[in-house]
Amino acid sequence: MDVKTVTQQEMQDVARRLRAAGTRLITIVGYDSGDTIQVSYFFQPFPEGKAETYRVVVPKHGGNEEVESITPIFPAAYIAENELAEMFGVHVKGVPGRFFLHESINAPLRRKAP
Amino acid sequence: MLKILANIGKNLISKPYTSNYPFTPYQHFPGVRADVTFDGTKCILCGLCQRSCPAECILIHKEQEQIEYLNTQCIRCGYCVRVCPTNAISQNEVYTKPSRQRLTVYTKVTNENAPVIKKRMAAEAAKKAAAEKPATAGTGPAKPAGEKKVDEKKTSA
Amino acid sequence: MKTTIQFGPQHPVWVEPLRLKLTMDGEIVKDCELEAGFCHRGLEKKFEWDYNKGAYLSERICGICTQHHSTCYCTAVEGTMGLEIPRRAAVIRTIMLELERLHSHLLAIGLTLESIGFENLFMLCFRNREIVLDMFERTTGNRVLHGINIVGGVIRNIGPEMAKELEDFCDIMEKRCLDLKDMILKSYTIRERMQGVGVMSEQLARDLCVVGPVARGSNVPYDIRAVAPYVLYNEIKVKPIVETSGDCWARSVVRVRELFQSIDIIRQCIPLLADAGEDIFAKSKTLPEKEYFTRVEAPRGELFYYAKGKKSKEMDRIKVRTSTYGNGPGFVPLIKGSHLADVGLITITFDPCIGCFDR
Ligand code: SF4
Ligand code: SF4
Repeated sequence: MDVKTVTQQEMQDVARRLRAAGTRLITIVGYDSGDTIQVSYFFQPFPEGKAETYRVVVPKHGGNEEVESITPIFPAAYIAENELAEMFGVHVKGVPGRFFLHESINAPLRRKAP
Repeated sequence: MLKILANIGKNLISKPYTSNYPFTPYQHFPGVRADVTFDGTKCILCGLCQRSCPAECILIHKEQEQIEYLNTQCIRCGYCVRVCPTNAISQNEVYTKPSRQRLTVYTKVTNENAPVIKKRMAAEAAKKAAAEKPATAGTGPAKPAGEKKVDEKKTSA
Repeated sequence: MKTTIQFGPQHPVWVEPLRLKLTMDGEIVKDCELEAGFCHRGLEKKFEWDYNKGAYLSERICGICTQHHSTCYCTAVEGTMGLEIPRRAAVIRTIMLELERLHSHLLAIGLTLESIGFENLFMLCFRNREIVLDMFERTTGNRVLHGINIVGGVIRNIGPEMAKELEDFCDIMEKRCLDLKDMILKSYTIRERMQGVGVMSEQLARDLCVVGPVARGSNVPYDIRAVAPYVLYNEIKVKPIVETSGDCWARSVVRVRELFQSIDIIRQCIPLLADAGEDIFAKSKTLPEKEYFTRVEAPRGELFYYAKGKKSKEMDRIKVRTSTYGNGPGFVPLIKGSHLADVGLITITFDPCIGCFDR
């Protein structure tokens, strides 16, 4: 599994380029490594090709990290971005940030900084 | 139209598809997985099954030399049967009937090779030996230590 | 005048809880809001657990495609530690995957027919499904939660006698499915009820990245078995079954036709058992440490597992993205503008599995 690490602005361009090529979004995976939150975007070229992975690394600073949304480009990212926001307590611009969880539950998958 | 009539005729004379349950009991296939049974003469109280059970329904009480098995919590996965080093666990083939009780099963372990039991027996033997000749018991450091261990066992049991 | 109707959380069409908040104008749905999370169980947190137990936990995400979930999980974890499963285990897994697809599609077809009030055919579907479940009980020991997948292989072998039984089963099943297909595809009533209802255009299907029979019903030939082959699908070529019209009828027809495809794949797999070696389990020498993802074509569509280990028995992160999760965004645009009486039918042809959706 080869991962390309990009910045948030590059990610927007990548998403636009892939969208124009007819690529499908598989999902968005968040991972808390302690002092950063890694957001991985999985794409599947269609009709054929190998899956591609892009990763955005967001440094943690006390619960108001911001992630650019790709929902305007890929409508399929809506649920995944909401889930990312509620599970890791990050702020994804442009989505409500609550889909599965009740308001009383706060960022269950976020870990304490070591 | 003719096909429908033929079908109706066929269904009128054929037997019902479903089985007549309480009168013809359900026949399970060989190899069906149901709850598990512990063999107290083989178990060595290693606790591996307790650590690997996904439903956390086996509790090994080392002091009481007992296995506690929560039947209604078990998911019949058979993983404990795989991991047990002495093949002390076997899986049954008959479904558990619905029940109002928790169906907790206690199995007493009597295997003399289990480390815990070996230790207890050794301690008991030492105590016996100590009781037989109390007068000659000197001030050796080994015996009081042994007695202490026995006391601990007794109180926790 | 606008009325608001709460469709769910408890509605007889879906067995599981999902809420649709419909804003109605007369009979026509003007707006729709989807709310999920009623059976969110926090399984992704629970997966930070002993990886051997995780195989049993992953089965419990979904009560219908259990084999797909555990295969996907086991393949992902095997990938993180670079473990190759024996060939016989791969063949057995493939057979089980296709059997699972059979019974899941029969269930989906039955529930679709029940939602339009055709209860006789629903019972017929479930009668056919029963023999698949019997086959499962015969081969794996359990009817629904099979529990035969563990990391490194499978725990039950399929011997020569069992293979013979599977062949007989394929013959019986094919005959019954042909009957079923005749009854469904030739029925004027069913076709009139379902054709032209809930049309998902090809462009919309591509935009929303829907998966499985929903995508294939809209002329998008997206099938993981063909796009990114896993276990044994490198050898057994699968051609995606595609329908063009994109309505409820097309989605159901895709499912009916996939029944025969599954039977065909099982038939191709059985001879492979004979010369596949005897090993069904490979013990791993390392602990999971890398990251890896796998995808499996579940009956409802693409299933995705991401696994990351941390060089200990516990996993670091498991992400599950189920097929209904991918199809979820497709509900809203289809329901908007439809009749209230069609809402149940449209959603049930997506074959929603809310347990999967919420996890
Ligand atoms: S069968 Fe599975 S759930 Fe039951 S006791 Fe054994 S390991 Fe635990
Ligand atoms: S039953 Fe087997 S695994 Fe469990 S404690 Fe006894 S010997 Fe160990």
